Amino acid sequence: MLLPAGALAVPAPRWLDSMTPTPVVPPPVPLPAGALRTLATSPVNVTSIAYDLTLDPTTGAASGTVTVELGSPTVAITGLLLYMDPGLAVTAASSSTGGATTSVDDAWGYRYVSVSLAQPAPSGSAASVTIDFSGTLACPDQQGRQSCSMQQELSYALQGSALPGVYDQFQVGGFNAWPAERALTLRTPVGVSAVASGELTSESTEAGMLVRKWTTPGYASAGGYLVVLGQLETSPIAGGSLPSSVVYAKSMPNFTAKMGSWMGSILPFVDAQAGAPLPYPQLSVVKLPAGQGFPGTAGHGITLLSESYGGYGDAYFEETLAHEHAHQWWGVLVSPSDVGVTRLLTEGLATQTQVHYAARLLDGDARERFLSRRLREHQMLLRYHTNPAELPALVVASPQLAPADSVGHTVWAYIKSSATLEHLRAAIGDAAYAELLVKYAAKCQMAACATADFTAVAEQVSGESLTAFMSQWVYATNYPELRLSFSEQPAAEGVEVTLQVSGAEGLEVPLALLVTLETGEVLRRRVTLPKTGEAVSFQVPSAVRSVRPSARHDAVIWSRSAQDGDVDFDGEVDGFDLLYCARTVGMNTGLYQEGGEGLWQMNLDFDPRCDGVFDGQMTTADLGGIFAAFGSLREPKP
Amino acid sequence: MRRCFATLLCGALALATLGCSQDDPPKQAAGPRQDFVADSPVGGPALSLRLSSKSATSLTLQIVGSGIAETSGVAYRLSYDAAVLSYSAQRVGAGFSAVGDTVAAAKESRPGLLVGAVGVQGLGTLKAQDVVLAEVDFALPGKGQTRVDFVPGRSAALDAQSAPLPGVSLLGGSLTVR
Ligand SMILES: [Zn+2]
Repeated sequence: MLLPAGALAVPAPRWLDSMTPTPVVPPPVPLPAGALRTLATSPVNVTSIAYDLTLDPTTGAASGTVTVELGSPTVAITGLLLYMDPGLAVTAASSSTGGATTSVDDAWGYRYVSVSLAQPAPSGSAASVTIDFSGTLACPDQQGRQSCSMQQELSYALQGSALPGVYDQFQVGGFNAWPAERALTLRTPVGVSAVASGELTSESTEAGMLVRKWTTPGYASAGGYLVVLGQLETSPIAGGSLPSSVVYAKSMPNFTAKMGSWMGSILPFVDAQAGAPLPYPQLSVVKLPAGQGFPGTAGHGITLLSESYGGYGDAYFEETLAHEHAHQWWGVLVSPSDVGVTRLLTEGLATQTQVHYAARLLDGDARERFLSRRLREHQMLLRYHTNPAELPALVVASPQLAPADSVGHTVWAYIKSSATLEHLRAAIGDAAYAELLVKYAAKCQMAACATADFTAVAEQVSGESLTAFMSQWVYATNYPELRLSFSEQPAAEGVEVTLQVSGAEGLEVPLALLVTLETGEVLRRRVTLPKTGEAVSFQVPSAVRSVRPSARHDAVIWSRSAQDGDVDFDGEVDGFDLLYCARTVGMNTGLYQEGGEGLWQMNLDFDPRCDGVFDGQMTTADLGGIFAAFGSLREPKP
Repeated sequence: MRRCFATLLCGALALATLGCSQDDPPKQAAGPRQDFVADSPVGGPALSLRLSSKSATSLTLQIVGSGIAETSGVAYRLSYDAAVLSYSAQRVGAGFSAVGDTVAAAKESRPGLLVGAVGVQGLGTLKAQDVVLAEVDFALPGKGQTRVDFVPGRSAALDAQSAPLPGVSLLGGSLTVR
C-alpha cells in the first residue's frame, strides 16, 4: 500500500499494531499493480492542501472545507480520492473546472470520498477542488489505531479524520500529495488550547471563536499532519536551539518535567547528528496520554509520544523520545521518496539514533560494551523471533511485499533496518558515518531524495564503494555465519596478524575488528573480507590475545570463533569462556520477562554465542561444546 | 651425615622448619617428601595457593580468594614443571558450593600447564575473604623443585558480569619434592 503523510510511529508497546506505518489501508477501489510512485515518477502533483476546520473537541462536532490544488504537466486530471472520518458527510463539492461529483465508500474505519471533476483539467493546467464536510467525528478503531480521539482532555485529529487526507491513488489521478504545502485554519470554542504540525502564523478571536492558522511549507515529507487540542498546558524546554515546550493534558503532568529535561539533551544530540538546528520557529513536544489511539509520531514542528513508554523505565522512555524526535530529520525533513518500500532511512535511522543517544555519554570500550549488549535486542529479535529466511530485504519491490504482521513488520522496519545501519556504521567507522548523516541531511532536507542518495553520500564520505554492501544487505538478505581464526608472524614493526574466515564466501564483508593485545590494550582495525574467502592481514605493535568482530555487526554478521567452545575469540577454550556462558544458564530469549529491558522486556545478557543448542534457552546442555573442548589452546607463540 | 644433609638443604632453600630437624617425627613413612612455600601476601585482594594435604604420591593445593568483595568464579591457568607435578583432579571449593549450583572444568592442556575454572552457574556471587574457591590434586611424578604460578592475563577472579576483576594479585608458590 502507499504511504501517505502521517506515517511515522514508534513501536507500540507489546506489539500493538499501531506502529503499522500508515493509517490508510487500501481503498475499496483496487490499486493497479505497480501503483507505487515516487516523486520522480509521479505524473501529477498536489501543490497545496488548505483546511478551514471548525472543531469542538468536547463533542467531536466538526465542519469545514478542504481545498486541494493539483496539476500535471503530462496527464489530464480527472479527479482525486480523499479519506476522512466516517462520521463526516460531504455537503458540497466544487472544482475550478466547473463542478465535481462525489461518491463514498466506507472501509477499514475510513470514509473514502472519490471526487470526479465535471471537466478534466488538461495536462499542463492546474485544478482546484473544494469539498465541504460536516458531522460528528466517530474516531473508530482503524486496524488497532485511531486517526482521532475526541471528548478527551487532550484530543487529537490526524490527517484522515477531521483533516481529510488526499489519497495517492493511481487510478484516480496519479498525483503525489507529499510536496503539497498545507494551510490549516482551526476554529474552536474559546478556552480550547491547540498545537498542530506546521508553523503558527496567527491567533485571533472571530465571532466568539478562537481562530488559529498554521502553514507548512511544501516539501516531500512522511511526517504526520495533525492537530492536538483540548485543555492543554505547556512547559518550556531549556537548552534547545529553538523555542520548545512540552505540551500535555492539564490534569496529567506526570513525566512532563522529565520529558522537558530529556529534551534538553535530545535536541542538541539530534541537531549535532544532522549538523543543523531544526528549521522551525518553534517546536512542540506532546505527551500523549497512555492508551489513547496512537503511540507517537512526528510532524513539521511537532513531536508526539505516548506516556505508555514510561512503563518501561525512564531510560527507555528517554531513548524512545529520542527516537521520535529523531524523526524530525529522518522522516519529516528528510523523507526518502521510496519510503513506500523501505523504512531503512526513517524507522531504521530513528531506531539507530535512539540506541546511540542512550550510549552518548560513553566512549571507548565502555561504549562498545554498552552497544554490544543493547544491540542484543536486535540480534535476538532477528534470530529467534522472526525467521531470517522469510523476512524480506530492507527495500522490497512493492509495498505489498513488506511484512504485514505486527511482529514481522516491526522487526523488518525498525530492527533489521537499524541493525543493518549499525553494520554499516561499524564498517565505515563512526567518524565517516557521522559525516554521512550531516551530508545526507544537508543534501536531502526538504528535497526529493531516495535511498540511492544516501548510498551516494555514504560512498563519498567513506571513499569506498558500497555497491556490494547495499546489494548484499539492503536489497537482499544475507546473514553469513563466519568462523574466525587468526595467526601471528613477527613483522618488521610488531606483529602481522592473519585472519582466516570461512562462511562468507561469495560475500564481501566489511568488519570492524577489536584486537586485544596480550598487554590488554584493545586496538581497532577495519578489514574487508573478499568474496574469494582469502585471508586478510594487518599489523599490530605486539602479540595478540584475541581478534573479534565488533558486536555492532552481530545482528547481521553471525560471527563465531573457528574453535568450537571459544566464545571470546582468543582461539582457546578456557575458564573465561566457560564462566561467561555458565552465568547465563537459566536465561532465555523470551519476550516480556520479569526484569527484562526495553519495549520487549528481553534479557540482554543472553548471548546467542553461548546458546550451543540454539533453542533460545540457556541450559547446561549448551555448555557441552565448551566442556568438550575445554583446555584447547593455540600453539605456543614463537 | 643425614643431619648435615638436612641442614644444608634447609639452609640453601631458606626453609625454616618442615622436615629439617632430625628430632621431628617423620611425616611420611616412605617415598618423596614435599615442601610448598606460598608466596607472601602483598595486601589487597588476591588469589593465592595454599597447601592443603600431601601424601607420598600426591599433593593438594587450594586456590584461595582473599579480600575480594564479590566474585562469580575463577578462571585460571597454573604453570609448573611437569617433571615434578602432574594434574589429577579438581573440586569446587566450599565457598562457591554455598552460593548454589556450580560449574567447574580443568584440563592439563600441555604438560606443566593446567587450564581450569570454578564458579557459580547462573547468577550469584561470593564474598571471598580467605575462602577456598577450588582444590586441585596433583600427582608427583618425580623429585625436584618448581614454581607453581598463575599465568597472568589468563587467570582472574570474575565479577558478577563475568568480567575479570582488576587489581587482584596472583600469588603462587615454590614446591620442592625430594
Ligand atoms: Zn519511528
